[in-house]
Amino acid sequence: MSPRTGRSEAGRTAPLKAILLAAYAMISLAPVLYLVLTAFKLPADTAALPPRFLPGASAPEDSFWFRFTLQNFHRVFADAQTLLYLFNSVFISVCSTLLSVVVGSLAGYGFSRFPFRGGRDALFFVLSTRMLPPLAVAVPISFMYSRLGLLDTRFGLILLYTCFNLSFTTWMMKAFIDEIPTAYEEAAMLDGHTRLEALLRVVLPQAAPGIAATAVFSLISAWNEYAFALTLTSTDAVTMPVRIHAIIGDSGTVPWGPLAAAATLFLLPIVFFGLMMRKHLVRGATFGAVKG
Amino acid sequence: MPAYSIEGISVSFGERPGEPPALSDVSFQVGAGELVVILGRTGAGKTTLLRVLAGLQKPRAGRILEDAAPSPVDISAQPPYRRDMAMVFQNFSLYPRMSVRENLSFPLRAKALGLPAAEIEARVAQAAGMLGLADKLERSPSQLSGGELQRVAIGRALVRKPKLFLLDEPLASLDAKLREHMVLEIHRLQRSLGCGMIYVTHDHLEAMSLADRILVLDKGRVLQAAPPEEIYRHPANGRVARMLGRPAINLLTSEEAGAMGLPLAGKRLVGIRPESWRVTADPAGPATAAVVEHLGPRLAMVLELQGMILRVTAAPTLRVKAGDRFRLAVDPGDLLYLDK
Repeated sequence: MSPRTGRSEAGRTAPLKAILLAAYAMISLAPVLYLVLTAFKLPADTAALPPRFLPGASAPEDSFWFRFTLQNFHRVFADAQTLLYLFNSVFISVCSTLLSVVVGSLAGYGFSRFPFRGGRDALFFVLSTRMLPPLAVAVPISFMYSRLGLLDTRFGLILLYTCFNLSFTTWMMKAFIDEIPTAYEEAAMLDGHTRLEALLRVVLPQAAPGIAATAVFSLISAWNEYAFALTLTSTDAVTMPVRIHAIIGDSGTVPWGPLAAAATLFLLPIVFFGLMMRKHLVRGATFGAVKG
Repeated sequence: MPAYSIEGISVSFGERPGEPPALSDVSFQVGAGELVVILGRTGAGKTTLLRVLAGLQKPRAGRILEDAAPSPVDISAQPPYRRDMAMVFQNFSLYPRMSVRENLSFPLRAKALGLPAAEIEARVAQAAGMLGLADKLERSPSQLSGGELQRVAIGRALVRKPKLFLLDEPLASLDAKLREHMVLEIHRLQRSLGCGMIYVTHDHLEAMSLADRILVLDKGRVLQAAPPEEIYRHPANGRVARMLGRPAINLLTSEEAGAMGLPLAGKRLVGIRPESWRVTADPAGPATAAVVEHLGPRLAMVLELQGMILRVTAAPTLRVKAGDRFRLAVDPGDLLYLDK
């Protein structure tokens, strides 16, 4: 097919694509929008029917208007514990992501460049650690953690999340590094650099999109983790998913406003990080296709 | 003592039974400042041999000795970055995320060297000037032409002033005109730097014009290692004889040679270079011109003689067309007696 007919076909399907994508975006963003709006509502407006989704200074009866308030956020920020738990979430996710990406890159490089007898089995074994449902191992792990003094510590969760994400980051990074020809690091080694220098200066910069994509997935998985955080923490190392769930359980009725405010705060960092990495993410997800 | 002695290198990649290993018992030497060309067909093991020398490929057997005081050192176990060799890869392998300047300075920025920034700057400028890249330093490799990429790759190799240069078919992806120019460039560079060089190619013309010594490699074995004229005049066997010279050499079996009345020396093959024939036009002659090609400086013909096909070259002034008949003669001193 000539490039011209290819382009005109793409031109014809473009509006359809845009409509479909817009519809999809609206469907997936609607709950998020509703969550954010709820964070700015008074208790009376949160469960009102018909739903009120227009922020205003006052809320007339039977209208779509609700009274805009910041009191939910005041409540969240006044709660020292919630702030600590938000910090826990950020700290634990970032640390475990850094660790699992660094170790996973090295492991992926090793698997990619040094094939050895049983290497494929080893790789499958690495992946199989991910197949266990977290709750199945939660009991033995919490037993081990209590003996090791790791219960309710940030370090304990960082270690656990790193281990769980490592299988994934190793596989991802192996796939990305497989795509990079060995010729570059061979050239670098002949240029007088050690293998590690070659890896850091030549291979990893080329794998940057892959690293970004891996980091995003790893961060999201650590950020959202609930089961282990629930079983292994009690006061000091609690993370936001556990805290948000606890807000529901605090009283008989669900305090939708504070819940939504906490959830909105929980959303912000990951959205910000996702936007930051957006460019790399698209390249990373289609790494093989855009090469060369 | 030569600068490098390569002794009994063997490499196998788990070939199937019956297939020859990638390299078997390859031995040769590289003198200080010598330009050795490794000539062979695709799959002969040329690149593998180069990778063994560079330390990128572990040989199954054999060793590499580097001349040093007081006695030669076995460098076979050294990693590539300790060997003080530089390589130009067939596909250049420039670092895509670095500018030309960064590519050229990369070997100098190795931690082990510990060069000051000013020194790096000066050496990059010198290499860029030598290769005509001074105004291209800030470009990225993707903005360069094939010839420019090639020069950057050579510059990156020579900027560190290595003891030994390894070039793996560096001109294979260039067009004919550029190739001719670059062969001269490389020759000039090697002479002015005075370093040892191993140059891999499948092109016999490149080999003939560059080499101090040609190493003919075939199916992982060294068939012959000698200066170009020596290899051309005294090929070790028919295989080597066929690799050099176009049109290719005529190889006659002893029966065919006997039928033509040529003297025999008890060898299995008699080789006659196309230019060794003395051709005389003769309407009653036994040979008939089947194909006539004007190659400019000479005339190439394919002649038929008693069912044999003979390749012959003659002076371009000879007036001839297909179907003309000739008498052929050859000086006995020009006959090459060869084993298979």
